[in-house]
Amino acid sequence: MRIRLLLVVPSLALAALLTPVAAAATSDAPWPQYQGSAARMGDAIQAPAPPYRVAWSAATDIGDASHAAGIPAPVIADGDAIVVGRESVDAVDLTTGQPAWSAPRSLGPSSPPAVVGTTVLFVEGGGDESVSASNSASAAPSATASASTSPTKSASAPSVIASPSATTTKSTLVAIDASTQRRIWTVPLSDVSHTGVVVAGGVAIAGADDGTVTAVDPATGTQAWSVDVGDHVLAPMAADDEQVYVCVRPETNGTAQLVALKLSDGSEAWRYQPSASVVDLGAPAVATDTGGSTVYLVSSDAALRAIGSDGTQLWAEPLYTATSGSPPAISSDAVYVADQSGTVYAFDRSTGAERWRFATNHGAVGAPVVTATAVLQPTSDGAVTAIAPDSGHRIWEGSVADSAVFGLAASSDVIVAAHTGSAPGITALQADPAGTLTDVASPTSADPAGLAIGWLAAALPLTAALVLIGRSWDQRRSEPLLAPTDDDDLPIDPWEADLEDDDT
Amino acid sequence: MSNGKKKRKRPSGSTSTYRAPAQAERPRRGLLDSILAPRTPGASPMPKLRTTIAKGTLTALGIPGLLIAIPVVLLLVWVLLTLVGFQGPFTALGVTFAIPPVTTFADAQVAGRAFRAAVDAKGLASTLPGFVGLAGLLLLHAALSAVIATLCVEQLRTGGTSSWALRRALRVIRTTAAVGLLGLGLLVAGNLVAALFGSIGVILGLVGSMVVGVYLFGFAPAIAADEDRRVSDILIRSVRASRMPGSANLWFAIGYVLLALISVVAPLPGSEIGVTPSISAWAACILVNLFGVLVQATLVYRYLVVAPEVPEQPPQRERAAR
Repeated sequence: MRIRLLLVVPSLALAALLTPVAAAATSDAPWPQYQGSAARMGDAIQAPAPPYRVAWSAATDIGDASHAAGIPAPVIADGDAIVVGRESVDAVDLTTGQPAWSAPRSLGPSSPPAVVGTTVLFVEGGGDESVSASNSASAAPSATASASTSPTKSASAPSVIASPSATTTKSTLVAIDASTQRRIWTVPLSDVSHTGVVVAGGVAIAGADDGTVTAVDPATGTQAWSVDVGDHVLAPMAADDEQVYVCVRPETNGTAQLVALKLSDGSEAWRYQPSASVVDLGAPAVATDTGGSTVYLVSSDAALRAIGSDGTQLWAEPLYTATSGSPPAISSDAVYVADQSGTVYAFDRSTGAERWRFATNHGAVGAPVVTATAVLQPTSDGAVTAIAPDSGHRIWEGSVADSAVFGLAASSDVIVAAHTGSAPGITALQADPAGTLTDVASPTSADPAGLAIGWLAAALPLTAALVLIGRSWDQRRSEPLLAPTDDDDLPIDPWEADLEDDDT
Repeated sequence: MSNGKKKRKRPSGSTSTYRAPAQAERPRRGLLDSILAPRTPGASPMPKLRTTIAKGTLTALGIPGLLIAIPVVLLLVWVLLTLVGFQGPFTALGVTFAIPPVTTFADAQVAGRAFRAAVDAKGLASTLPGFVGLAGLLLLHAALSAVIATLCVEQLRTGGTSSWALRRALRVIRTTAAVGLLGLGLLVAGNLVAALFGSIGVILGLVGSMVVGVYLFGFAPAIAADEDRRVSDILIRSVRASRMPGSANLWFAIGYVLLALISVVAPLPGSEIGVTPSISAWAACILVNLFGVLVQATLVYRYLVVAPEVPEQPPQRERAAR
């Protein structure tokens, strides 16, 4: 244990020195918003290092695989893990795993909440968008953000980004006091909301399906501004100190756009539009350094894009398959993202050069989280995979559920995973001193020797057996397979005719 | 079947005694004439399905070179695909020795990943890599199908195989490539049907187009290998052969397509992302492709049995004449 601490503490300190951007992006609470902060960087330098073991599991109202909808990603504040369920907002004590409190919520798609002090901000209402409701209504809105033809099992994985709602009900932005669970204020929104809440620059912001983005004072609920940015706003938004970044999905035909709105008044700073083949953009994450902010996000053409502070594209790199639309995780020098097949990538932040990729082959729905020692990727079959940021090798993998893990949150003691499945809820992982780390290379890494051995081991005996069977049958055969034809009736071999033609 | 030319001896050095039917001058007709023409009346000369499958299996298993070629070709194709960026799933190779349009169905997915255009490419640059990749895969399948057909024809005609089969395959490729293109067209049409009719359309459109492709053009490689005809005549003759009465060719095509599709979508070993297939993945892939070879050999046998009975002209519409 002492050796472990001796190793971990310096590494955490070193990581903190190397990641000034990440440190600046966090607030007093360890993980008060989706992916840790308004920037959605998913950086958790304070998190425990793998290997992990399950500390506790707690049931919440996320719903099983047929009833879960939206993004029930957790946040952490005041010693509690908080997640928005179907009809309640549930808080679980991080230390004991016992329910801390629960507040009722109108039925609607789950979305990430935000915590400011003791105020919990979340969106409620919008109706039942789960698979079971869609099946019963026979009017299922499409659940994919990206056009994927993947034949792998991840093709059926749910998407982080919803489709425009088919329901007629509207959502409401709600603020409650975490200590009493009493409602402080409510603000009706113009349509169903899937974006969750982002708090930055002194305002709490939520988007709606009809393209409206509304900012309010988190203390009073007084509207600061409201703008219509386009057709549909569905993905969680990200913000830095000056702007909020909103992805706009076109109504039917058209190209998706990323819009930067000024936090001060909601005016449009710039609008980025990728090539015409991009019909949707994933949730953005933003990193700020001395050169300004850079927005990182995935697009429906299976690419990761970096957008500069003036709205110009810095680089775009291909992924192997489309993604579920989750935001990438950002460290001081790298961007980490996962596609639907479960392949996790590391790209250089400034150049976009791919450093490594690791195929987990689990499917990925939730966003990755990067700690000082690992990139943690939740998967669609209930696992959490830890990949070494430097080598790209898998160093740990464990199961927390039997279905999709929608998101992670990290404190200094535990990693919290919100998941659906037969026992939907929150599961906490803590460091396991007795556990062991692995060092597994990606299945996408070339292994000529393994390739040759596998081929020889399968091909040689199979082929030999088939040839022997064929010979055996051929020898036992008493008559020709095809009834013989009278030789006089045989026509000329066309090949011979060709030869004759050549001669003449 | 003879064109009246005198018989000639094979050049020295050739061990095969095979003599294929030569080309006969026939009036050219449109493809639809054969599809829409009434079926040939009378009892079917087609052998029973059980007999056909058994003889086809014996034919393929009796060609050691063909059996050895299956894993060798699979290894070569896999190495080439991984070199151009394909990373799986390995099960996509399960259709390497299949019959179009089943091959085309899987090729589109492989081409989409292995021959992908650069991000934000515009115009021709955005479509050319995928098109070139798809064309390359189509030609690969055409070449393999041609070799299988010529090997099986020679095996059935002479009881052995020689270099004649490989030389002859160079001529058969034109036909098998045409069949591949027709299969691509059928799949495109099937996709349109699928888009129009939703989930039922997927069955009607995609599966239906594959069944139609196998049913109508399954005999084409055998005809091209055994007879010297124009590509269009070969396709028409394939349609006529498939529509011979009591032949159960449609059921054969349906059964094959369903089994082939299951092998594509089933979670067989190798259905994950990765470039180093396991032993079980290789074994499964070899067996699935052996199945494709056996079916092609079966079609060759089936055609050779009925070749003399396949009408050169579409049957007259007797009712209309009356």
